Amino acid sequence: MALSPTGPLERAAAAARAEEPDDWESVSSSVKRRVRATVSPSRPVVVVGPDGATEQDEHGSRTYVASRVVRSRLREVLGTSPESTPERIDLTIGEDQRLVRVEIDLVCAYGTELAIHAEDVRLRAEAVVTDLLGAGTRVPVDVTVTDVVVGDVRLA
Amino acid sequence: MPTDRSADDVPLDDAAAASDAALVRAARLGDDDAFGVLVDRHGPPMLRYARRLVGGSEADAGEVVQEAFISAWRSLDTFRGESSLRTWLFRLVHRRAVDLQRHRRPTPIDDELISRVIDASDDNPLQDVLDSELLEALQRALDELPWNQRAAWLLREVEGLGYEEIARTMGTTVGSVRGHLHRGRRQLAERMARWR
Repeated sequence: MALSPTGPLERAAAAARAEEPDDWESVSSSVKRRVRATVSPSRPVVVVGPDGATEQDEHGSRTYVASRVVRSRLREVLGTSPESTPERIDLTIGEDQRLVRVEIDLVCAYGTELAIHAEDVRLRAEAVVTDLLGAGTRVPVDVTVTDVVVGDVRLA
Repeated sequence: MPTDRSADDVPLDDAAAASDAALVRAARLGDDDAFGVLVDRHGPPMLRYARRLVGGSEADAGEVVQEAFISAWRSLDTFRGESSLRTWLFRLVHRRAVDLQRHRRPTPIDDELISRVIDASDDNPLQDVLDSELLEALQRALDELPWNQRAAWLLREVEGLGYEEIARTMGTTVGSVRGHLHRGRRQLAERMARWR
């Protein structure tokens, strides 16, 4: 059984520990609003057609997708499994604004067949890339398992 | 083609159950919802610490904590896990409070504020009044303490950090923390003695 604080300083410390800041919701909302408004660095990536061309019409029009969007979609798609989750996603973009390479670091759950799972992740990543950047965007996807944890990787 | 997903392969609804490490991992990749869970998990004690440290000002404490979290969001890649996330966040709050203190004169205590932040309980109104007055006295005593003694006492006695964690938070050594705590406790006990 815990002893009640007896001295005035101990009583004051106990009262301070029991405080719940009543304006926390307002501070929390403000933090989240500012975080959402923070723009992460991004570069335009050109969409490539099945024939390997970047021109979308006879006028030479091109379509670009922000690298932030590609990275975010990869995170969403690859982060739903209890067996693995990405901890780093790097996109290499060439001077011609084409995607050149994707590098993904993975944390896997203990007991996962790493090679098989990495191949599955690679295929999923390739599907995201071609979905967003066109069927002509065929790039190497390097997958590195950097850590293994016990349990569901989304929680551990 | 990608292999079929398993039945467990679904978005996680209960992000609140995720560990700090899992949430940091997601936030580093730009998941602001994961970062929001960390904000609500660690924010209230950070706000409490900031408020007592900067002299009881609600506005100043809110600003300090907001700046600390924005700094955390921008520099998550630099968090190496050498200390706990909680200690890292407290360090960011401490630094922001130091910056604020350097640029502003001490702010008088808002008496209404102190009484407002205590949750009133229905069963013991006398105790509520006593706690409220005790906290006002504590804030006055804290305001008279040197900065480092005040910070060390709050981190130890209110937030429950260990000596090593306090040293990391304040950017000093464990030996210095012990010294600040010893002197801070003695001075606070003297100032609070009339409440005995």
